[in-house]
Amino acid sequence: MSVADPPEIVMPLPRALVHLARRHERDPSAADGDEAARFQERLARLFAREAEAQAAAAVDAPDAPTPDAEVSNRPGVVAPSDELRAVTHRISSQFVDVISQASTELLRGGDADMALARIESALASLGRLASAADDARHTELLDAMHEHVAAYREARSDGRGHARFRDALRAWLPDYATYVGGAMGDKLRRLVEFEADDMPLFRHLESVRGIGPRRLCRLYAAGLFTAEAISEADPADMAAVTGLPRHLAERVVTETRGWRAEQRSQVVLEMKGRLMRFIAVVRGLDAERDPELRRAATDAYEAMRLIVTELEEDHVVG
Amino acid sequence: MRVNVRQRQLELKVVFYGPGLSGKTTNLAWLHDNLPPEARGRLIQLDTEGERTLFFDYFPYDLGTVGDYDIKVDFFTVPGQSFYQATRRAVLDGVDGIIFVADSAPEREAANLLSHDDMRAALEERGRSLDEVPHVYQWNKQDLPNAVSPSVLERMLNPEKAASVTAIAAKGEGVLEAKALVLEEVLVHVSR
Repeated sequence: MSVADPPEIVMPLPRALVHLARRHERDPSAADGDEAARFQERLARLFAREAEAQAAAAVDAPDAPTPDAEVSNRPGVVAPSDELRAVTHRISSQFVDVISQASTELLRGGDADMALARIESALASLGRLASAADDARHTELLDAMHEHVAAYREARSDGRGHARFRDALRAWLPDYATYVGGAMGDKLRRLVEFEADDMPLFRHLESVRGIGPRRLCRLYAAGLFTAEAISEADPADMAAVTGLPRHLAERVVTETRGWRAEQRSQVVLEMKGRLMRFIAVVRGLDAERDPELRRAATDAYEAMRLIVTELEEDHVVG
Repeated sequence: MRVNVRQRQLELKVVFYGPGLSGKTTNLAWLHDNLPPEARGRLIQLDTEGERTLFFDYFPYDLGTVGDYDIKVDFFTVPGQSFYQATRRAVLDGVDGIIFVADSAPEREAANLLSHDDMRAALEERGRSLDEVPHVYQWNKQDLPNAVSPSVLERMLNPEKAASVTAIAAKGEGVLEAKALVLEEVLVHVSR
């Protein structure tokens, strides 16, 4: 080699192209032409299309924030992508539901200790998700809620704590709703006192010998908040994840299944009662004056009767 | 797949799926420890006190720059226990490639099938089918004395004859191979 012949520097292929090259080597028959070239062409098209879409969106909504996050990449450090934060937000929705339900129960005068335990457990889980995604704003909001809960615990005995917590919650929820956005945010904004369906289950489980509030907290910490999740859980998995003794996990699952079956039976009985009241209304309609209405109501009654019959067959009602 | 125009970055997502304790986290952690440090980001593990995956495990992996564009892959695992279905759905949303980690222990046959059905259902809820999503199978724990043979697992779980690899993830065997196979499939899929 002479000075006139500079050494040929072979740059290593980007890892993406190494994978494509291996694919070709592994299965030449499946490859259709130069995969690397096709990949580059496709990338160019993808980016061109996305850039056009973003430009069009900017014209329609000039004040909207640009979708691409600024990622501060230190050299040699592979930063997490936006997908990490997106995933944590999606998972967070389950815990936001819990905070909504528990807050409602608390404000309705329900079991405060149980409700607070659920709120604190949900906040802890949300905190872990926010921390994993380096989501400072989310962490800040959760810290604020932690402070409200702590203040409520201290002030419960003086009688004004409940009112102050209610006010704090009503101030916090809109901020949190704005942050999470989307359907989750809308749900939080519309938070009104609705039935906290799963609270009766936890009251029932507390009465089971060997359970109690501390062990219930282990269920919450493992993400087991709903009757559906608990009744469909494998007791061995539940014991492994929560640390409950195996025999207790089995009892929790069995008790929850029994509780759900009883709830369903009650729902079916209630529906039958409503159906009887509805047929009385249908019969009271004047067939000559309101023939269309009478026909529609009769059709609706028949459809509902079939549904209730199927439900009765699926859930044996005593 | 996410296209970040400002950063000129293509972000792909690969998820390790499978029943509880099949080796998903083992795979991801081994991968993280054995990929070049300059090519991968921090490993995040959100697990329970008993070290079972509660939410997910995650790390980003840099596939280099092709033309003017950076290619990055996000590797996730999901919690395998049946009652974490909602979390699995949240993680699987928008997936570009799946590595299904099956447990070769004979007593885990039902768990493998349930998890596989759950994966199909999760995709269908989002209007996708397994046939449309690049995926590979890893028959893990082949070192068990009574391990179910790969041919039986193939018949049970892989009628579509997707690529597969045998593995002992705890020793790192079959881990890089599964990663390479799924990335090949994903990148070819992107090319189309």
